[in-house]
Amino acid sequence: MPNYLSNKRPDFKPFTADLGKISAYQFKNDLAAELKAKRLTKAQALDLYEDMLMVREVEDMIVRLRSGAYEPIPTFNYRGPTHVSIGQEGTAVGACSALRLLDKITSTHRGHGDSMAKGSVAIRQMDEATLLSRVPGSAKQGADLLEEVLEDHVYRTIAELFGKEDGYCKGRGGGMHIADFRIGHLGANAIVGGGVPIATGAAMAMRYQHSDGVICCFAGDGAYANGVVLEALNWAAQVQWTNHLAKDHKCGLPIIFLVQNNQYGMTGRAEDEVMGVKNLARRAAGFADNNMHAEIVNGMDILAVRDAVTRAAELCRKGEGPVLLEVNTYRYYGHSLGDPRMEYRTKEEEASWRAIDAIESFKKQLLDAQAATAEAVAAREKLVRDRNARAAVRAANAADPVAEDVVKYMYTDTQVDVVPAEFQKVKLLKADAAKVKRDKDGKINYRDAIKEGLVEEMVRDNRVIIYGEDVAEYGNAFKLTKGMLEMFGRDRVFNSPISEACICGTAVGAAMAGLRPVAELMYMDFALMASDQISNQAAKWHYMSGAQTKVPLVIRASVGGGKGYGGQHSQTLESMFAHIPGMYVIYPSTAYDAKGLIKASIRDDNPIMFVESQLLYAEKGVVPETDYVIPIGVADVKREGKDITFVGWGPAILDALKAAELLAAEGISAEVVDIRSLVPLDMDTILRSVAKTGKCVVVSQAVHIGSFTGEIASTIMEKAFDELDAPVIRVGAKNGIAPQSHILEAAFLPNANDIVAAAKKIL
Amino acid sequence: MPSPIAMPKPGQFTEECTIVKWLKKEGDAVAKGDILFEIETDKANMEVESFFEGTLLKILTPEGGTVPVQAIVAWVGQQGEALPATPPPPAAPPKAAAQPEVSGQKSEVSQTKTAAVAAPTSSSAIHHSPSAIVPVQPAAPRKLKISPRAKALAERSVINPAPIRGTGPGGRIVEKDVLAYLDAKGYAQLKITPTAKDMAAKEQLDLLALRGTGEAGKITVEDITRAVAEKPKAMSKMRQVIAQRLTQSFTSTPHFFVTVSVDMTDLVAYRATLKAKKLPYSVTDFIAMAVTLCLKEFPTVNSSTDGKSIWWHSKVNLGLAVSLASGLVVPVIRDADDLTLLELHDRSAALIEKARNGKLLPDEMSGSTFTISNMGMLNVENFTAIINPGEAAILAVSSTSKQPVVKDDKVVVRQMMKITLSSDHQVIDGAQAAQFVNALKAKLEDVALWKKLV
Repeated sequence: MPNYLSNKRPDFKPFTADLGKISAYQFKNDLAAELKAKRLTKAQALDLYEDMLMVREVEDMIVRLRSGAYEPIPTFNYRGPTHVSIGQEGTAVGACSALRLLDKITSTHRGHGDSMAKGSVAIRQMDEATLLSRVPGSAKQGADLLEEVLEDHVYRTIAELFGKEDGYCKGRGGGMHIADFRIGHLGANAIVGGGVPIATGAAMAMRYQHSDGVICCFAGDGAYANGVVLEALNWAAQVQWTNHLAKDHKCGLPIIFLVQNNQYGMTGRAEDEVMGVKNLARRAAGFADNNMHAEIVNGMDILAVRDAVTRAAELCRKGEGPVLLEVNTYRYYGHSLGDPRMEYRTKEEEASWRAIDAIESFKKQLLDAQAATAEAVAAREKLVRDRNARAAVRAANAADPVAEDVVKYMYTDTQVDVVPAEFQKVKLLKADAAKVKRDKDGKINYRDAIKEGLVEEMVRDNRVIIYGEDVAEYGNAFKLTKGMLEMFGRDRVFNSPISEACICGTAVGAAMAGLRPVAELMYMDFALMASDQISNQAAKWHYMSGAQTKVPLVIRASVGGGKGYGGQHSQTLESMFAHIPGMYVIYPSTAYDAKGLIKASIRDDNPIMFVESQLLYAEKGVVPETDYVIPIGVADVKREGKDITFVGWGPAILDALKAAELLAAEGISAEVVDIRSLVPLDMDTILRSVAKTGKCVVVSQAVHIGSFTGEIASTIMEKAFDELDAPVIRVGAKNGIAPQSHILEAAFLPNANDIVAAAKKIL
Repeated sequence: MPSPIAMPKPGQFTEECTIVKWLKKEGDAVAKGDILFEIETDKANMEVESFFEGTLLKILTPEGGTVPVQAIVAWVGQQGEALPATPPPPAAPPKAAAQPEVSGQKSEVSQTKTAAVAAPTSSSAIHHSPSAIVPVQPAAPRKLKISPRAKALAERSVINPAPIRGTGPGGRIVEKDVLAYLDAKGYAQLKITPTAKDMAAKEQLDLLALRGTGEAGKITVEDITRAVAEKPKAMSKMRQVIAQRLTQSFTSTPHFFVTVSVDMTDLVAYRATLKAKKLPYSVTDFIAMAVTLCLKEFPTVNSSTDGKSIWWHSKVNLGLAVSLASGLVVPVIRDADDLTLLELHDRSAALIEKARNGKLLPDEMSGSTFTISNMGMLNVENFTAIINPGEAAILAVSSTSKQPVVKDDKVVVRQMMKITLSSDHQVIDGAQAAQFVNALKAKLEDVALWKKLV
């Protein structure tokens, strides 16, 4: 079947664009009406009340702890953030109560409520075996078991706030990064808007997996001015998910963008100050012709929120997502407890919102509708208070993490050695569409070696997908993915919008949700647009979640230096990402290594920045057609020698080999060590070589200042000082910006002669 | 709150001290008054007591460490207490100005001098021959420019790389220079027993500088032992101060020497009768008393000068040179002119005892106005001493021995003792020195005087 070719003709007939209508506050039912309509049982209503109380109790505890006024633990010294969401309970519990056990959420730095609510609602939906798995060894059953699991939920939440080993994230994340992946809570996120592309990526994975799950992406009004959030709205609304390109898999992303509009960013006023629209729901109209089914909802009315999210989830499950809901609510406290609030709003405003408090209003409805007696309501209030007190005392006395474990959970040492049977089933549309041809010597170039590795891994494991700008019909800017769309279809190989942050961020969410995405950045320079998603999200979630989740993704980024593209398309930036703990950073220099390492990267369970050089794309080498991987973190001696060691990576290895050749003519024998990965770094091989030669030049194409060459040089001096016969010298690009001029760029980048000159300084 | 233990300031102008030994270790219980550690100052070793009780939480300055006075060297507190961040050691106080004050004619000058003085010791250099005095401060060794790898090779080869000519950048000695040097010196032919090589490496000897006395020139353990004995060793702080002070005195003060023979026969006999009566007086006591009496008669000899003015000391602070294994110290009998012979004896005996045990306090070793160096027990006929800086003279007392002397035109056997006054010619002339030593002689030979004084 031929690829889809656009045929868009000019069409300038006058017309008026119809942006449609967005309805607001249409929900009319009270509790009595909901009970009558059997949309809720009395018992469920009482549970909703209890869940809101649970949220408020935990946050009220935080407020009191700051003044030593929480009676069960009056002397406990709580260190950590105090971003309480008191006032927003109706939104959190209302939304989560409309979700199923395995539906997902992402949340925010003000996420105690979302996290507590998702947990307690999910727990109430669990069967006995699932409940038992959360409290192994418990002898309880039925209601007692449920109560034990709910208390465990409160305990693990408070323990995380207190930084204890028993916390949901083992004390590594804290309240701003709390997560419980077992029930689809993919994490609160302390970067405003940071969780939104993650949720979008998870939705993308659920679509790919044909799951009937949905994800509710909580984010505040402030986030809806953040670039990556706007990227995510567009990403979720792409028509390729639902139009003819999707062929027989027409399905919108099952995501609910729930705007928790509590009226303030930190203190910036959404409506009156830092936004241009009165209703943030209008954002939806900018991204989807159907306005993402947007509605404006009363967030102080738990039943209104529950209703809206129930209907949104239904749309998503039918493949009609995404949905955007603006839920208006109110934050009674300031941004944190250090915020006195009175600089930017009035007491009268606060009083007016407190007067329609979601909890108090719902309590009145419970009594009015005779859904519960006053005694039953009081009993729940006491239950929540006592449960929280017990959990807090236990958490305060719980074991701290062991100091020696400070970097435990940075990386996982796992990889996919054997693909589970369910993921081995791969449908090939055209088996040889992406086949790489070898020359008569069995050689292929570096670009095709990467492609061959990608293709082999996609055939091996159906969780591997590849996307980025122009990777589909066009076969990527360098023809590296040519034929892969035809071979695997658009579910697995697709074009993305020009949204680098979202390319990387959706990969994080997709990886958390079970895929093994390969995301492509056309130029490494663009990684800076995605730096939050790479550095704060991809790199950090394994650790911050206390190893609850793995983030098996590969970000491929190509370096354009050396072809006269100037300052914004030529940078060698791997040193920056090597400085971010949590990422692996790989940069092959040969075709053979490129195939072996891309395959190893896809199989590895850590997030990986895989750097490619456009200068090397045409370099040929003998690459076996067989399935082989190169272990990550093992350097390779590309040439043996005894007088001097050249250590480097990437295209600088080619220069180092040329330099070694030039020196050989003078009787000097140089050894060339290709580290192949900056992180993990194989220092042993480097030190062995330096022990042999006593002299070392570290080379790369990165600009000198702050380059990873400095890290290697200083480590050599630290670990092998007595082996050194001369100072370690570094060779890199000039401390400048890559110029367009060929003459200038030649002077800017290091070459073999520079390496020879550096060597001669110490020989 | 833990209490800081500071390096004490043992003397007014002490700037830094070295911890010689810790008597408590981290974690030990400490009571008030317990000895925590011993320090070496430029004058002596001292023990430092704790003012606090609790546990020795942390030692900041290990044995051998030198810190400015009043720097925190340790913390005492309750077990498990957190330590406050230790501030950096205070800057060393400014150098003491050694300007004596003319008006206050007491012991200001004492601050400019220390223990060191020519005295009983086996080192002849200190006593007589100026030519034998070695430079006190050797030039700091030139920093050798050598790569770590070359240095490691030299260490492994147990050789001194200093003579090697460096051919690396900036003249640095690099590995190939060491290899060439070893080759040129026939290192490969060197024979050495493994034990000897280990010892040589430990002692940082240069194998190429060793002479092997074993079979076929093999270097043996005996060769190493000999080389180690000959190896330069760092002088103790005390020895360095002695060297510096005496060199300064001997090279900047014009010394001259006047000797007389004292007939001690009668005094020795009288002392024997006293001894029989269990009275403790020693010959040194008589000499000290006689010197004190004479100094009151000859104030010029009990004076100081800065080369422009001279000032007399109204009191006699008598220094007594005492030989120790590690050097010598001069305990000071303060206000000797106020003491009876018995008091003088008691004070001098107590100070000498403390000196021998290394327990002298800094203030017991400063402020002398005149010094006696007595080698009477060491069987010497005569010697001269070097003036303690800041003083005008020093008396060298030699052994008493039977000598044929002419008395009443007859040759008789008498117990004779030579005393030699070294005088600073800046303030004392020959005649004064002669009068002083003869006055001393007269007093020592006058048994009637001693019978009154005892």
